[in-house]
Amino acid sequence: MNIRYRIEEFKKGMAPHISEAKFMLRRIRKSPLSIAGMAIIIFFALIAALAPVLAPPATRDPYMIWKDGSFTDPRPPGSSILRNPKALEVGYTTHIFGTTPEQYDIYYGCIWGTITAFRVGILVVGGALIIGCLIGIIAGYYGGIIDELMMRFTDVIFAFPGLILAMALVTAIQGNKLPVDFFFIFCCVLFFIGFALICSKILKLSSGKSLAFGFLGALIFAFIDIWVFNSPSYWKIVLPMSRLDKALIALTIVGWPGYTRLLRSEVLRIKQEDFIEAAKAVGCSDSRIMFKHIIPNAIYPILITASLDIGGIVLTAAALSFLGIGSPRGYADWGQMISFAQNYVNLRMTSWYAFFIPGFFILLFVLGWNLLGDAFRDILDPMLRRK
Amino acid sequence: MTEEILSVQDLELRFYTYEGVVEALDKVNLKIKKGEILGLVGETGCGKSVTSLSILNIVPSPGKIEGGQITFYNREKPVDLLQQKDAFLRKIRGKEIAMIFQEPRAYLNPVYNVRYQISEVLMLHRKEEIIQKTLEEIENTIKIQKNSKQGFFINYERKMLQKMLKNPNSISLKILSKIPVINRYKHRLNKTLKKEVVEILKEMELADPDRVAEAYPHELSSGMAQRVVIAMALACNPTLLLADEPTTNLDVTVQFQILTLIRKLQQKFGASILYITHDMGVIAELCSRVGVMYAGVVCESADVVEIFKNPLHPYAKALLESIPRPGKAFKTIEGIVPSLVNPPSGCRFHDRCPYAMEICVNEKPKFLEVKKEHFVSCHLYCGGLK
Repeated sequence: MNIRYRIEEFKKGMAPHISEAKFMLRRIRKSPLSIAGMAIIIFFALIAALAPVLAPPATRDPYMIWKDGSFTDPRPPGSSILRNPKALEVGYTTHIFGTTPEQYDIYYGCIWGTITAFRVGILVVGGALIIGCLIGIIAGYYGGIIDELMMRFTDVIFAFPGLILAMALVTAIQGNKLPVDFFFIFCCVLFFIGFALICSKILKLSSGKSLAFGFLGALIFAFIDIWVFNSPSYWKIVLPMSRLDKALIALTIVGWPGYTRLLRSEVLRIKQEDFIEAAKAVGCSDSRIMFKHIIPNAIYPILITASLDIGGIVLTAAALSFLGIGSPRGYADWGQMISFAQNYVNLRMTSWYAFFIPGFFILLFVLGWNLLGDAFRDILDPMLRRK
Repeated sequence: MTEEILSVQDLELRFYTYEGVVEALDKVNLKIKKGEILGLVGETGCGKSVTSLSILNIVPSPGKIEGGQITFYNREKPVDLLQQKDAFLRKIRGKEIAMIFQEPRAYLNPVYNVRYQISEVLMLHRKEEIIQKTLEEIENTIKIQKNSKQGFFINYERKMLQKMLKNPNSISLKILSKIPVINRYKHRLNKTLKKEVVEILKEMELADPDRVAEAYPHELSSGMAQRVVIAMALACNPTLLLADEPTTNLDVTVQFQILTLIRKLQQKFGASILYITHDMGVIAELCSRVGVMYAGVVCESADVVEIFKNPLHPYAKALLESIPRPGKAFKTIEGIVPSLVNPPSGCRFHDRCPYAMEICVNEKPKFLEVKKEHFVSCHLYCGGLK
């Protein structure tokens, strides 16, 4: 009795959400392309999740593709395993998709490359989203000198050709270790808190503004500390960093200005809307208006471009790998496998499998995200929704 | 004589636009008494809405308040709202001075439902009360059921809410409330909030408050949306309500319902209302005193009956004559409201005024009390009433 009552209560409470979900499902069902996009992405997600089952690792590091000797020419699909007893032991009988030059197994690379692709796409776009949105909303909401400073900084990054800046950054970040200097971070945090407190308590600025100034203060400290004094670190640990991680950092640094511009333009529009005035009249603080009232109204176009960008970022990462500065040699990465086969791309298509199969994976992945982006727009965009 | 609740003295406001400085308000004087409805009439672009926005100090960006005082008498000491910090004003906005807007649907956030938007106001200004209510409810449930399994959770909820009551703005609780399992105590709080919201909506005479509470702004008709906006404004029992043309975009029947609702609520809660409109009919229906505004100046303020029977300022006379009546030719005021970038010298109405004299061009008239409780700023009445 009690439980039944509770279920009823739950149903009653959830009724608007359920009707909303049904509406969404109906919209999705109406556009077959978005279903295709979703199917592709779910397919890839399954591959990534089941990678250890589909392609059991035959090396110590599962992200490294196992090798069958070091013969230079690629071998076609179905050729037998000659020089890797470990792979035979694990359960491979033949090279299902053939091998790349230098005998990396294409099947294994494609399956584990899915995980790499997801990681690259989601991490880079997520990082860029967070940085871009924070800067975009602060610049757009406060306007004036803050806006000018932040947007000119964004323009500076935008002015570089993205791929080339990323390449420069990857080569500029030296060593394969990431030093984390806790003393430096501690000082940055101290400066941030100090500036924010001074702004809010002594200068009597609003909380949002003082946070922005605190951020600025920490940045200035970091600049002075690194470039002017080049101060020694006192308490520091070193994290291992592969070349792929460097590429991720570089792509994030290159990728955020787009989101900043997009969000700022949206914020400038929504800032003028009447309900923001109403929120002010009700007594909301600046930060509350920014994050509770403006962001939920402005975020949809940014989410849509982000989902479109995941495909694009994977392509860029593949291009970096193709140029030889992306993932380390032998890492399960589609772009790198194509770069292995670059000397065998010819019109007679004698060894088509070496570049065609990883290329097809990239194509399908990017296509899936693009279609999914369209689907997101259909589902989420309030302007298009109720028509 | 009743006490004042708010007085605006010599308020000056300018917009610094690209075309030049717009002198939107020029020495505006207003007095709102406790428990009365003050009507503010005038043509479009006379600075009525801007006056109400400047009372809350939320004039949009190119506008700047240049001088004057806005004194609010609700506290023990009268405070000048223009001299206060933003943090202090935020406590007054919505709680002591609330606002209703012209286009209700545009003033509701499209991504949140009604329940969220009203409970946001409640959590901003009546947090302690809501927590207290929830705690009482918890005590009641503990009394009724003594099940040991449920007891743990309820004790936990009680503990968290007591902490919240002790320090409502603590940062650690804010962080904890974002973590899924730990923020369980918020469910009960939300239930109380919902109850409160439905109760407030019920007072607005909405047909189905439960459904409206879960509705999004686009699902509401404009009459319903206006009631929701009024509910948001009255959620914290404000002492002063600024109503900025709340019935302008509604059709006549809904307009009438909203007007009766406003009057009923005004009698119930005893709030003072500043009612802005350009409809003389609404003024006659609702208000007890009237201020007439023209081009950023209050030119006349008096009792409603007095204004309708015996208007003194030429603009007020013209405004009353331009109310359409059957059987009479339709009369308008000659000319248009002047651009406020270069406002007319002297009295701002002189170029449209049939009684204009030489002094009107050169000198600004003073805002004088010519009869008891009847203020006019016009050179015709400088030497007292003839």
